[in-house]
Amino acid sequence: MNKNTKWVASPYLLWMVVFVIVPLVLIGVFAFTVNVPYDLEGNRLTEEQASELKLAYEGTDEEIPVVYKTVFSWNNIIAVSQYLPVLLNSAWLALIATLICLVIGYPIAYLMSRVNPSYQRLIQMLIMLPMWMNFLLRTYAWMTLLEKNGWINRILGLVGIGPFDMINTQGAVVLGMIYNYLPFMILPLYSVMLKIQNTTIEAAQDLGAGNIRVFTKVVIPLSMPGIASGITMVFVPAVSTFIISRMLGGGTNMLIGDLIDLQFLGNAYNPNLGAAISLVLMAFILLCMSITNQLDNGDEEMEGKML
Amino acid sequence: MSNSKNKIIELKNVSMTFRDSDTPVLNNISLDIHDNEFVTLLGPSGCGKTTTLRIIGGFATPDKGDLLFNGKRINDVPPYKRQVNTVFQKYALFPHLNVYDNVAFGLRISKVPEKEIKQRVAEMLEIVDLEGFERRSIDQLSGGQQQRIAIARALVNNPKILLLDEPLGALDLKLRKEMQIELKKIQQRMSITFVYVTHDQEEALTMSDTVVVMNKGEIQQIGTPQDIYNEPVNAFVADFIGESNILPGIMHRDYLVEFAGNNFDCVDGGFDEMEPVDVVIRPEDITIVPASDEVLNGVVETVTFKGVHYEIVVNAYSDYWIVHSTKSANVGEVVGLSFTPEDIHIMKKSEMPKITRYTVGQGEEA
Amino acid sequence: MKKLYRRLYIGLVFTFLYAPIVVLIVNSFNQSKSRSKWGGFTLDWYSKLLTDETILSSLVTTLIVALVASVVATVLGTAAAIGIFNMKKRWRSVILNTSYLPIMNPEIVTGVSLLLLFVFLNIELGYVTLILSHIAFCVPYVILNVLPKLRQMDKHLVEAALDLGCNRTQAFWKVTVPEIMPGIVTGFLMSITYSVDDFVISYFTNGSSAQTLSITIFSMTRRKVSPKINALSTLIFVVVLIVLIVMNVRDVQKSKPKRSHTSSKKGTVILAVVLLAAVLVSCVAVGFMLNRSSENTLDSGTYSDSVDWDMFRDKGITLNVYNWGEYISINEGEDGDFDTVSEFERLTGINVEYRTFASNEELYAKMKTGGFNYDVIIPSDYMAARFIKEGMIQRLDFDNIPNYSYIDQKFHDPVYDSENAYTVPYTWGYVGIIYNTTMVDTEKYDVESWDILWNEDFAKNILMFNNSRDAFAIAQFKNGFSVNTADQKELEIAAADLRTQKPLVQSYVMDEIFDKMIGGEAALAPYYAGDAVTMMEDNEDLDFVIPKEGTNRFVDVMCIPATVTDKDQKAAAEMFINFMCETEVALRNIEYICYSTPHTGAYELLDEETKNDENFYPSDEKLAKAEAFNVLPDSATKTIDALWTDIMSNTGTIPWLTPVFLVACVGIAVFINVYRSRKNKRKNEM
Repeated sequence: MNKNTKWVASPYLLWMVVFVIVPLVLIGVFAFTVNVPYDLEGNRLTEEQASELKLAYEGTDEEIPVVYKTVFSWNNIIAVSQYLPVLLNSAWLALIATLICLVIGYPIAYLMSRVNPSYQRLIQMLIMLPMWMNFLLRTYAWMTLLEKNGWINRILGLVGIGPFDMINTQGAVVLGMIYNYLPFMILPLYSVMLKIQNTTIEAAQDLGAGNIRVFTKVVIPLSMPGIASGITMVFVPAVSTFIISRMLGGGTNMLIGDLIDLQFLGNAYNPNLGAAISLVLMAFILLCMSITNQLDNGDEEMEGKML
Repeated sequence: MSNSKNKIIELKNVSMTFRDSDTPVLNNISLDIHDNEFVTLLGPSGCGKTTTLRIIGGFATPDKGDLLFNGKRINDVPPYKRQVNTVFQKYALFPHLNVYDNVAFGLRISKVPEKEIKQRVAEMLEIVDLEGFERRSIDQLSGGQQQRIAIARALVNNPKILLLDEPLGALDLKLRKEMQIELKKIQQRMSITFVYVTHDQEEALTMSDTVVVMNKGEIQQIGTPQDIYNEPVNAFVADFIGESNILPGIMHRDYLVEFAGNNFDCVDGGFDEMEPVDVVIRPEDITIVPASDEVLNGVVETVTFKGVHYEIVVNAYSDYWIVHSTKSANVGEVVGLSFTPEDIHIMKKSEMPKITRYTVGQGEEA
Repeated sequence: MKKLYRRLYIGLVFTFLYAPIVVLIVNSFNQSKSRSKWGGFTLDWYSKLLTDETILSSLVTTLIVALVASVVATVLGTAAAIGIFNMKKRWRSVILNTSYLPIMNPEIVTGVSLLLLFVFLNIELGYVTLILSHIAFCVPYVILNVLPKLRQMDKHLVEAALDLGCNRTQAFWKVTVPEIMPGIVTGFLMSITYSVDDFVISYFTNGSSAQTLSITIFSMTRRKVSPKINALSTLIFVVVLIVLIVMNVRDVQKSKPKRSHTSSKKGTVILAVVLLAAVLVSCVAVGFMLNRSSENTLDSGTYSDSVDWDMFRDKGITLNVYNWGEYISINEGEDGDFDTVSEFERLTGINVEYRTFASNEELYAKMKTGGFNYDVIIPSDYMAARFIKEGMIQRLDFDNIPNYSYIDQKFHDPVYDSENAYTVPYTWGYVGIIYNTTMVDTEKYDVESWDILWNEDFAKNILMFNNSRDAFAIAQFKNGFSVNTADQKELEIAAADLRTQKPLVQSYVMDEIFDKMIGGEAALAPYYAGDAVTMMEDNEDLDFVIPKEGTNRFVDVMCIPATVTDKDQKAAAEMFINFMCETEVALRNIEYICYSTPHTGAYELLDEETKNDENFYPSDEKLAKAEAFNVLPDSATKTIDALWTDIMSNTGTIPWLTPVFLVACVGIAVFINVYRSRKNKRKNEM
């Protein structure tokens, strides 16, 4: 039956080439090339020379004797170097957010998996529900909460504490990440923990393990695949987020995502540099995912890990 | 059954190798199946029995050899054009359809009028004893009921041949026995050919007209259950069908064989002089007698009560002998083992390693 | 006790999860437009929502994109899953891993890579690209859901169907499809969910003509989110809540007597989708009906008859107009403001897609990227000059813009358009400091100097321009440099100043400033005069000054990109420009946006108070030191861009670090994976 059904994937394979592979190749191409001006004889010009020529010929009917050519260059990649601190800062914030998500999410997922099924569905529903509110709106609502004159400071003011500077700090950015990606931590953890049977836990207790040891020796090792995919699913979007920092961080703490946005549709138009940063970001994430994959020994393919 | 009947299926020198392996699953198989016959393909897992069935059903194509249906070659006829239906191992009932729609499936495909479908489904459900279950969904049925629906779904299409691939494998012992009888009854009532695959020798012996014993892609023996049991052609068959004591021996000359350190008279001949052979003695053919010089002596190792008989393991001449006896014995006691020349079956050495020497029943098949 | 802790813990987590939701819902009933003040209960936002064309049309776009993308993705993905399932193992894992790239990669990388693709393929950004990119990230979800169902499916089911007389096609439709249906449905629903919720990828691939709800909300968050959006979100939230509750209740009922499971679930899902669609569609429908009846229009007699306004009626022309945020008179449905765009549509029968940008540099990036097809853009003077220099805008046919005659002589033959051929002035203004009088003591501090923006007493209370040219200009004035300097040293000094200022800055803003200054979040900010006036109207504590060191005086101009090649299209764009220069239109527009007008006719009609207001039309002496931006040489522009990026991000400089880092990342990743697969292999062999 193999021969006959394989062809149905062919439209998709074509699609995949055009919409998955080619775009990534384009990123690579942009990252390793620059546009530089040449004169008509093929001599390389400096930007200044090119501008002068262009100004000189402006308004005349003659064609401006400057052609732009795309040539190979390491410059973009080298230029990314100065933004590595930004990447590391993003990674650092994302790491903090991921760990906090894990700490908050793990007990919730565990408790969820141990209550009776109809409650489980209810809790699951309640965790999913906020995701139906637009992501930008939720983040915007946090602005309302965290502002100097925001809800939290007002409420604290009633009991005579504060006001605190909460918005436009790195803490607010981390909070935004935690808030937006917490469900992505809880759900994979929960689905893995569902598979841990009570009998396994009872067996451990039967063999003399106390609560803590049951947890460290049985529950945690068994939930490793969930931890791995939870970490991936929080860390990847968190490290590359570009709007949370703008809204909650006040734009003073640019993250790697903002930097990429800036190069493409933002203030500093330079898609070649943007592509180079994207490439570095991808490499970094590849590394992180390889590491988290170690936590979970087994399936090569990823179904079931997500939802 | 007699060979005078019409051959409905012929396999001629069929060989087949899976794409990703070197060893053939089927090696030059030839087999005739007749009208109205209950044929069982018997063998351990991986012996090629299921593949043979799949070739007949049209789900696998042999690399070499021909498959004939009523004398016509049908190697390349797709399954849906063969007058053959299959009962699958785990039934393969359609979970998204209810009982009625499952049974009616084939009829609907062949565009039988709905009125006739209704009638035939009802008839079929009656035959398998599940009237009134039409609206049930599949997961509400027990294993035995699912089994019968699978049979009904296949039979309702009036196939010439029904293929059954370990259909009773998933059932518990009692249900399995009941279904064996039921299947046989259905086969007789419908008077069609059944080709039945199993690894359970008891099932094979109970139901079949003809048993085909297979191993490693080759047919070992074809015969009636009685033939297979009483006259196994080699140690593999002997071991696979029922329990056996299989011992290495040397044929001194016709009717004289040496094993267990003694020479014994026997009734077999036709071997080379001093040819190494396998000697097979059925446990129930051995009698425990008081130890004496006339018989082989040994020490009783274990005694297990088996209901009808005791299974006694005796260590004699550094071999373990299984004896089935209605009388018990004491562990540690020295006893004699007695058997007549007729009980000794001499076989050509087969390459088969002794697999089930010491177990009761056969190994599980995945 | 233990139980109490447990409950407390769950309670806390849910408080955290729902606090912002509560904020959103509460604010949808809040009479006050300010999001942190309670102004009494109202349902107004809900009824106003129904008349907001921008929100409703972006809702429609969102739904269309989500539906089309999900349907296509489901078909494509299901076929792909079936095909991949039947492939050999090695191919299968290669293809699968590639397939998952769009969702395993950071969203921004996927977005950017698709943007590059569309530009590369020369596809105009819009509906098509939006749908294509949504399909691209939805397909993996479908595969992800269908593939396990195929795995779980009993292989013999297909054989059973063949055995019962089906040919392959029949077997596929009658057995395989029903079997994997739950996976297909889940994949479809996940696609819809992710598509509706998507922001990042839409942000990079939406063009000028298609705007999803996320994008609309995004452009609102730059200034202030209208409570109408809260109302819409609350509606969606409630509908989803109801559907989920219904599903839950039915599930609980179902689980007792075990009946045919899949069909009932399918029923609920369909019910859910239908319900959701019904609510949203009725919203839209009612909205459009109401919309028609509540327009504030001008008598057609007011329009000059020098051009034939009906020329393009019923020709199916759509103009994409791209303007600054909050920079045109629109009717938000509350106080019957003049709605410029719909008035133009009504008058001429030309359809207008109106979009906004936040800064000249953003406009430049989009123009340069290509794929964005705008017909009328409104950049500032220096950016217009850059566009002219780079051949990105085209000469106008002034025969089609007779109203140009109203433009004040002062604005003729400007430096940025010396031939007077490419641009028509829209507004003009200058930059000053807007400050909160309750937070800045004018006796103690000299507000009339840019230095105050570097005063540590206002640390974290200063807002700053989030665009390079304006930000640099302030530092340049502070140092007494020309704003048009190309001198590397001067630029670096300015950059150093901006870097020193950074720790004091609360936030870098553009349109966000409205919300923050009106809400009293910050004390000081440099901004454009017209917008300052708008803010002062909303918060009495605010005041505005022009620093004595001098300031930037700017003119924003209307122009037509060189990409507009169709003759009718260009003529229609010129008609739009001409329309904007109609005296009555210009007047109402300028009254709304509070900038200063170069239109003599409109100026004459302004009330005396405004005409004499120093904030609108400052005396020449006040602007004596004002300087206009001119186009900079490419090298200076590049330097500024690079310096600006440096300032905005904490940077270091070790040039060889990236290649090493890159190689290290890839190397370690490959090593880890190879090591692991070896280990697995060994384990399997044992």
